[in-house]
Amino acid sequence: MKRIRKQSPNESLAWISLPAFLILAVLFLIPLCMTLGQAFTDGRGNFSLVTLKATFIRPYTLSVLGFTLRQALYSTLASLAIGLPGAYILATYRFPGKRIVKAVATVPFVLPSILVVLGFVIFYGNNGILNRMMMAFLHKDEPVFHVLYSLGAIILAHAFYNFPVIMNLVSTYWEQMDPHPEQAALTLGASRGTIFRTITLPRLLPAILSASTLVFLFCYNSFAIILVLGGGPAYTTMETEIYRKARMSLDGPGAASLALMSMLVTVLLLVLYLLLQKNLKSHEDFTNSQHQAQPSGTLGRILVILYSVLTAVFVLGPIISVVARSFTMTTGRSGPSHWSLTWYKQLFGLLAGKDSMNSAWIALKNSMAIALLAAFLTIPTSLSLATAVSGKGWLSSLLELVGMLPMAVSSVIIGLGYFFIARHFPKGGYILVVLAHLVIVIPFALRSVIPEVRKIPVQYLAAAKTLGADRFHVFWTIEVPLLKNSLITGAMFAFALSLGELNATLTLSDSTIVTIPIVMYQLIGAYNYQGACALGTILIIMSLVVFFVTETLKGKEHD
Amino acid sequence: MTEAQGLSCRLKATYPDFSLDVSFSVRRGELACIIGPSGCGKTTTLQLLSGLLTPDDGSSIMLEGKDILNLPADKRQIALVFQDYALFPQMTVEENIAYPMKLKKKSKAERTASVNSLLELVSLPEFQRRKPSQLSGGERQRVALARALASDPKMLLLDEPLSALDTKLRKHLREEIRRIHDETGVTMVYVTHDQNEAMAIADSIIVMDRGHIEQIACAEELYRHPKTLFAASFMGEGNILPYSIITQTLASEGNEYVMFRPRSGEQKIFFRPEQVTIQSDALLPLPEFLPHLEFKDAKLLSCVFQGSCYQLTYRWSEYTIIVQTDKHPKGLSAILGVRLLDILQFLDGKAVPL
Repeated sequence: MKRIRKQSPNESLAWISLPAFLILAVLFLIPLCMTLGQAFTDGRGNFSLVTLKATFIRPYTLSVLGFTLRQALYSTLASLAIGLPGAYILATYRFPGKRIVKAVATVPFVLPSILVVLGFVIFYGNNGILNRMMMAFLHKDEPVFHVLYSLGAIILAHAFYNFPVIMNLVSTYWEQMDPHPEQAALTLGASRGTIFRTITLPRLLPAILSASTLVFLFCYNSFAIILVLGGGPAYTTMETEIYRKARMSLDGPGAASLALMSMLVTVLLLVLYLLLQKNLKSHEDFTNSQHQAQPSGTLGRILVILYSVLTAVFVLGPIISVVARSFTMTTGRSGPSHWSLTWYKQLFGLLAGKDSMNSAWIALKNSMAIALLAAFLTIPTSLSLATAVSGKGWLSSLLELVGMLPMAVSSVIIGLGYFFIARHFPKGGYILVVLAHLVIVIPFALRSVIPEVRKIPVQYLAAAKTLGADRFHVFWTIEVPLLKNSLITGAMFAFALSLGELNATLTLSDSTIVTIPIVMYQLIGAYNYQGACALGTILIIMSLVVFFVTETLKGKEHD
Repeated sequence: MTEAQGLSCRLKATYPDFSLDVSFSVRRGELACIIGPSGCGKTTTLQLLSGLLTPDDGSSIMLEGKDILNLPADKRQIALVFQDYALFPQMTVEENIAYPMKLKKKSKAERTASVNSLLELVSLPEFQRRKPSQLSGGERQRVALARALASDPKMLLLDEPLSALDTKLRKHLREEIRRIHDETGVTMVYVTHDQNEAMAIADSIIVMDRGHIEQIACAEELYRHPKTLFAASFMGEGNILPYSIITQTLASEGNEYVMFRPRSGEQKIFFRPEQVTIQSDALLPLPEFLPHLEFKDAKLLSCVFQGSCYQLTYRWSEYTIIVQTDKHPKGLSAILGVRLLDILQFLDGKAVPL
């Protein structure tokens, strides 16, 4: 391909980004400033550095930060341990069922964290399905393993959540790498092991590091998993501590100063991630060549089958357990269970339930409305932001950084910001929830749109121009149609994310706001697992719809 | 810049690694080729003409008597066929071709009729409903050409349109492009790095190197009377030898060597491989009676069969001489001869008029 000289790619299109930019600034910067403002006050609302200083040097805070980083590191390593073999298998082998393995592995992406928590309790819990199966198999009366409410549970849940990130990012990178260097090494007499060590691994390193940073960031900001599976103050991270300070101790400035500290660490991590991602782009010339072979030999085949089966059990086990449990009724704590639709009757308000089950139907309607609104608002916002960000100048880079900033700020902190706003707008209620969700989902939608914007060859735009299309027409007739699928994908992700959003909602909401995840959280707290499972099943169905739509769109891409 | 018709331009542009300064005219209805090695500025020239790049001050572009320098790309009415076609992947062939007509708000019926006749013109009838991904490279090229013509351009630029295709298809398609040019009468500027392609289809050829024009001429003029050593060696094969060998090789009783006056500067002589005569039999003299240069005891280094001829490489003294002949050489050494009339002289890269 010949080099085409490119100049001011999105000339005179800056106006498109302006409204979106303003919206994002208002949605994101105002709550952030509210939070920061709180951090710089003492208990009575006067400007002071006392709170900040106290927070930053308190041994307790430092130990919380230490634990947060530690659990994130362990979780990342666990995700790598599970994800990398999968990346190897997906990138090097072609086998029947590969598409299914790939699809199954993307499932955790769209699962809300509260659902993962529930699935883990049901599947791995002391009284969970795995333990019961093993008890029956080993003829024991005691649970075989105790994993819940420990660091192990946290790490296992994080690995469940994040190994697909590692697997997908690394295998995609791997597949697109030009196979010629490896082939050249082979002709030069290097053995397969040597080639992997000296050629493939160094080439993959940028992808592995970048994926790991991303996973680390996710685990650092994890909330529901720590809150429930950690099971108590012994396992407190920055996020759960912020939530507890704000909502239980009612210490606004304390929570805000913790949030500031947490953000500083996250920004550092994000800068690292962006730097690595830059490196990643500059080294490889990607090709689309398919250079995979069938698994060779018995060992390869066993490896593939074993990995596929284990992945399926690991990923699908908790999810299927949730669905199964939602249709059962148990008499006594671990007595015999039978099929029942009780929980769904309660859910749809046909039967009076106990605990929070009575607000389930309202929560369902609320969540749908909030998620639909957030998804629709995402489309124009991400389109205009992505278009503005796609250029090459410093302004685009700055815009991209600002667009991605909400990612550096955890959803708990965004919730905290809106919690401070809610004090001024006591009637804001659900509107504030929608706005908070919008801020949280936009960066994810952008991640599906921006790469597509970048993929549009500059020749298409140049060709349209030479055929007489002005900048506006080029945008509407070439760019928007090419981005259609990624915009829908982004909106679908936004819908799924908003539907399952717990962190920000829980942090900002008072008792009058109910959504599906909040009711689930309350039910889990009240040990009403079946009720939670019925709601969880609804979330699973929604996630599956999102999943299938996005997967179908993926298949429909233009070549 | 006196021509009111066709294109007349002066283009200047500066980039960190490269600067360009060219000035040329193309008559209305003419097919001009720009040729040159990679990185000589061919593509940049097209992008400057089409308005995708902005030239430096001091440039001018006159098209059909109008100054279009300050018009944006979409107002210039100059269509560009891209090297990699740049068909819009989400649109069918018909939608691609109809695209510029839609922008001009032509009616549906008019568009359909034009698409059909354009597809007829590029020999792709019945291809309306296909997507670009379902087309071969050659078919994509034809669609790209049809789409460019659909904008009813005042001038059509083609950027190495055939470089991604195989030799046979390339030959066929370049004839097609020439036919389409003749049928539509549109002014074309065609960029290529292949001198055979340029010679086959161009009315005039613009030879470029490192951002400037070496020569503008028709193919034959360019081949027989290149103005620079670069143009001479870029248009086909040739032998370049230092001037000093003339005294060692001149075989003539006359005083023709007077025309080879020594001058100050780097002096070179140039001749084409097909202008060399060979005498492989050491016992016989060279059958050449006109004044010529004689390279005695040239050693055969290689012989490559090329179908219609052999390409031989000889070593004479410390120089290499390429020869084209229709007979297989008999021995490993030979006497080579070149008529003085066939020899071109260059001083510091520029042709010395005889």
